[in-house]
Amino acid sequence: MVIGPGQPGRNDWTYQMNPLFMTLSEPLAYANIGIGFYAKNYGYPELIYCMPKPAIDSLGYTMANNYMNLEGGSVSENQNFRNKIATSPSICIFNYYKWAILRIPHYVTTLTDIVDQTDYIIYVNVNGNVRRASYHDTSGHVWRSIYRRKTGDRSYANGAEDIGTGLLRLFELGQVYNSEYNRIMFTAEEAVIGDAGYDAMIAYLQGEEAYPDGKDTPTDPKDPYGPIIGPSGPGGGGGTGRVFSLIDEPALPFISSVGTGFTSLWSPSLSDLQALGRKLWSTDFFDQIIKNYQSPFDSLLSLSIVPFNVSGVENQRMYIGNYDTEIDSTKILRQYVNLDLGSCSINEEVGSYLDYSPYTRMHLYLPYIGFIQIDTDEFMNHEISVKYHIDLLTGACVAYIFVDGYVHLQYSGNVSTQIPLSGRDMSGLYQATIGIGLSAVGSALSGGLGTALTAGALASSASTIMASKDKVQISGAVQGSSGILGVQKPYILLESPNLCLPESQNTFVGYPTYMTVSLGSLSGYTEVDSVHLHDIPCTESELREIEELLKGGVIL
Amino acid sequence: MSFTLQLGTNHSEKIKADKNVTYTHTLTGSLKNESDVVDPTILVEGLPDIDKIDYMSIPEFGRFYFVTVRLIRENLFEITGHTDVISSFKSEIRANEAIIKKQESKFNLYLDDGSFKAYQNPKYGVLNFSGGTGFGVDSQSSSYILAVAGG
Repeated sequence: MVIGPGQPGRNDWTYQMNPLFMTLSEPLAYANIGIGFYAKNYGYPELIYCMPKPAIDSLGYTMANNYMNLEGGSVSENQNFRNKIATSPSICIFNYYKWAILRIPHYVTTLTDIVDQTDYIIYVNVNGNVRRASYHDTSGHVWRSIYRRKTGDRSYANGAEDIGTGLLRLFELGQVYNSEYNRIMFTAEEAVIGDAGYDAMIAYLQGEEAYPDGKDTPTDPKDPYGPIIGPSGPGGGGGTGRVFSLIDEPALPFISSVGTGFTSLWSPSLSDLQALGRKLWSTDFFDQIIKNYQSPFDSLLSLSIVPFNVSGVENQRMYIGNYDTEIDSTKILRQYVNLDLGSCSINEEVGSYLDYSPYTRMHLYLPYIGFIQIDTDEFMNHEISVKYHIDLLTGACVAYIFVDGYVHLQYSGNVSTQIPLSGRDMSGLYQATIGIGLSAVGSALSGGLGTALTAGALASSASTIMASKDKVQISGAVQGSSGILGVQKPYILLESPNLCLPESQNTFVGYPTYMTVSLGSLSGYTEVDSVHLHDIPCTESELREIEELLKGGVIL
Repeated sequence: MSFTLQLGTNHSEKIKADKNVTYTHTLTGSLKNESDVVDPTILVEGLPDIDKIDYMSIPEFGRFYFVTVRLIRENLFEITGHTDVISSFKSEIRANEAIIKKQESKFNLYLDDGSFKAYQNPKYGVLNFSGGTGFGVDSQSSSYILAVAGG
């Protein structure tokens, strides 16, 4: 299809895959600059007529009485114009002032019948309004008006209110030429063309089927992978970063038990604790506190050790309940604290697939939580950092695993080591700890016994070796009193294949490529996966031999 | 048909396109019988250092050949050739495109084609975290926490 000021062959149309209908990619982009007729000629589309506006004017095709007067030109020019239309067996698009001419042979029964021409219908839409529809009998060159819509006069005889429905009805039902059906199309087209959302939709009735390229021959489907995945290329050794969703470190809780008057937290020194211990067993303390509690120790909620410095306001008088201990100590004003455990960059060792799972495995040790298996593919070539958010009242902690500064994972544990005050059970406090993190035990290496080792595994590929390895549960939870005995900094335990790489392996057998490459651009050992050899002046047997050799490996 | 052939020694790998050949004999003769272009057989009389010959070029045929030499009778040798297709048509081959499976210098190491071998004993290593306040258990970096009622 061509619409344009005398630009034969210009293809300004792209089509949806519907064989009957299509949409212009540039709807009416050239609507006001000329007209063009595109027709089938010996099986292929061909521009048969194209006129810019001045040419139309010069032919005398004037707008008169609200319809396009095709009789207004000179006899020869008119004849020429009409003959050109008459020789077109398919659609004509007339897009000057948004006109549209739809040309359909009278004897159409199916799409395949549109291969010849005798008569045709012309529909004229002027500025979005139907003004005239005619058919032309080429034998007599007589123009007859078959439909003329006056203002307010609209016919929807077949119930089709758009050109698509009308055409489908016509062809699906195998209708022969019928002025009613055609008229429906015409009247409907007004609505189509008058609507900005549909004015580019036309029917394409070019013979048997309309193919995406507008020709009568089918076009091979385009490779769907091509525009998305693109051709493969070289790689390896460099490695680039990965962008994760950005989850910031959460803020510490603002509301806490501290400052409510019900509970207070202290960070006493050892001497403070010793003094307090003496106080606890004094008759004075006992007499005071026993008024409110069954036991003096009920007023002491917990005493624990945490593995970090806790800041507070020093030299504050310590009260237990309403009892003045006469001990000045450090009062903690915030129940929740955070702690930075540092960071670690994980980089590729080789810069190959062996740096990723399942060949390379990683386990992250988190103090007071234990070992967790982390996904190698997810963390490779990134910086991991760890921060803990800790509840000083219970010792509960949540470890946040950051990737490139943003939260990725979170695990819970407990960093406090409880010091027994009496025989009372402190489990109630532990049950109150938050549990939003994953269980370290559940996240540790799964498995147990793996597959049996393959005989002769020395020469096995890396994948065979790693797959055959038993998967060992590295550790369960490390928290509470055992945590204080463990390693106090996080670290990553990394397991990677011990590669057996003969010297110059790439020279002898090459490394994987899987790219489409001109053989002339290569040097050295080359193994071809697939090739369609051409333009080689040799015998058929030699051609086969060349292909076999290329697939077996040659040195270019 | 008169033509020239060169006989010599190939020093390169058989699969190499650009071969290093030392031609030691240049012979001119004519075909008396029909000859196969792909696998020609030629009788040669009086050829010194015959044991070193394994390669042949016949420009008229536009081909290079791997050859085997057979003694027919005293001083008469039968040279049987088979086209070295990679060398003979290297220019035309290089004009073709192909999907390359493996290559010496153009490769993508992120592809796993199973061609790498690994020893049975994997490597283990530890990556430490650096920076940060961290935990500690000495007197300077740990604290008591006392929670009391009231206050």
